[in-house]
Amino acid sequence: MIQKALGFGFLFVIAPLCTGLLWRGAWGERKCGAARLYLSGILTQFAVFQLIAVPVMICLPHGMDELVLLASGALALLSAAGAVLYLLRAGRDGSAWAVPRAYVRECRERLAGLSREARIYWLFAAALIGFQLYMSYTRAMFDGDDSYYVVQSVLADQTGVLNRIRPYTGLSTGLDVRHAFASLPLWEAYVARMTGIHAAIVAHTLLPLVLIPLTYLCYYLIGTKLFEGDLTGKLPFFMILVSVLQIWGNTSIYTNATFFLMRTRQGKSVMANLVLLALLLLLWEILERRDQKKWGLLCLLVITNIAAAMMTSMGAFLAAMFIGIAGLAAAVRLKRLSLLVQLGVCCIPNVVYLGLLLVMG
Amino acid sequence: MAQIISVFRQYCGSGIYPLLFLVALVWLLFTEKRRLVRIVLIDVSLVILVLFFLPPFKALMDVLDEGTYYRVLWLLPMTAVIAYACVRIFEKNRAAGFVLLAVLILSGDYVYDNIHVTKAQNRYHMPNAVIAICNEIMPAEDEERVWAVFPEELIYYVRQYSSEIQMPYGREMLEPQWVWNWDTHPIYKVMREDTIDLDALAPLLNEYYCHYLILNRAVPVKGDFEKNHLTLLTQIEAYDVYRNEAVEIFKKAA
Repeated sequence: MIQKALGFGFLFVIAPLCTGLLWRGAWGERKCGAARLYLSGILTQFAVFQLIAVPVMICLPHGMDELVLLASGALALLSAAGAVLYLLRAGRDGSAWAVPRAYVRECRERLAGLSREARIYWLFAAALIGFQLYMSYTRAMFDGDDSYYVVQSVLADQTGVLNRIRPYTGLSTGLDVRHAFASLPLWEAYVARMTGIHAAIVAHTLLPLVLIPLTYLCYYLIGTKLFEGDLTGKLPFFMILVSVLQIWGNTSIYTNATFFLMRTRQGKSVMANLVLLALLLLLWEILERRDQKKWGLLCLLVITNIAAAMMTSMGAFLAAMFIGIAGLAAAVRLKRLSLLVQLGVCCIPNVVYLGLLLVMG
Repeated sequence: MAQIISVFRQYCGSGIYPLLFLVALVWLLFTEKRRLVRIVLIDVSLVILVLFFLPPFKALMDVLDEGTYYRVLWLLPMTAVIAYACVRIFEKNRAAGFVLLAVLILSGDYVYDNIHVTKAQNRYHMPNAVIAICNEIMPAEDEERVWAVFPEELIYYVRQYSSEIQMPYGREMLEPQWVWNWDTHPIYKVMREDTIDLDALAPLLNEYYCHYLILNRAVPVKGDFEKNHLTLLTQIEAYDVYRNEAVEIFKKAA
């Protein structure tokens, strides 16, 4: 139980929040609330894991122990760096605790200022999200692909072998680059190792409890952009609609909503929902900053691109395509060709990854 | 082009959400004033839609990853666009907003009604029978991994629970669209029959070193278990677990 709590606390609370602190400057210190910190932190965690997992799986077929060590070391370092940087920066003007206190106070004031109608909408939105979490925990969502992806996690966790065993049978095999380079199953095995929870439970029960709220966090942040922070009714109603569109969105087996709620644990689902929403949010934030500093956000875009590659073999391509289209539209509308170049540079990791896939695949 | 339309139709399925998305997109195209909203939601959606319906683009995507063209539609911010348009209407007219909410609910397909959604029996989200059977046949610490043949309804789950249990064939036999490897394993050819012929199965179990055979009691069996060296170990829910005595379980090398 202690290992479960410590592992979960490190991977899903401390590491994302502390790593997220590294991105405080990128978002803009005043703007950066806990939601943005957490999102940036978890995307960084994904990207760092991907950057470590791919070379480890190529070089060390039995490298799960090494992968756990390296990933934990990197996360601990990044978390420590984020915390130290924050304390140094905030400590200089004695505001280390003043910032979170001010943030909490602001949240309280906003809540207190809500009309009764808005409160009802927010409660309803929260209930709908809570319902989805409850269903993800109490309902088994069968999907045939789990016998590939979840088994890869189980194999890495239980045998220490990285993608060299056929999931369906157990026979030895070579590295299936196309599937293996999307390292989310290994990250799930890593979560299993760190928490001591069986990899199948991590995939089916634990991850939806993290990924569903995280995706709604993205929708919330996009909502704050769409309604310019108006919490009084529009934003909660937006969140209600988004929930309804997910819960009733199972119109075919291909929709984002179907993947979101029925295949939450799979990389394709994370790509189709969380990662694409994070890209949309980041692009919006970048486009908003006409002449201000946006290099930090462009770096976070690179990180998100690497995270996309972790989710599915096509993730890097889809992310680059999305950024390219948005960049082109923005360059034409805003008459800023430099923007297209900047966004193009952010897609270099995607090109490298796709090149690797083509060469090694 | 027909293929692209077919992919689009398959993506849309039974719902009208894509249609609502198109309506919302056109409405926003004419009414939305904010430049960033136009770029991020409208322009991006329009370009993706145009690209999606271009045959050369599909040809390119097929080179990269055939059979997954529908994933281009994931790039459409469909949920955000529909929800945003509804909120814009809600802002002007609360009642109309609630009517739209009702339309979304009534025209959608409730995900938890899907036939693949069942009440979870445990935190693994797999049938209790699988866990009990796997625990029963799990090798001891000093034993090598075992091989077992399962009825097809359990095949998907076995190795999600334990890597210590191996199977001569797995999901690749069960997917009818995977024509390249379907129907190739001789044991599966026997196991999928309406009546399982033990005299045909037992030599194959020996040939593929299978230590265990799990049978669904509802499926008729012909032949003699004892003569074929199959000993009933236990009965778990609807399943009989047999040990194939003809195949030895090896100890791990010291």
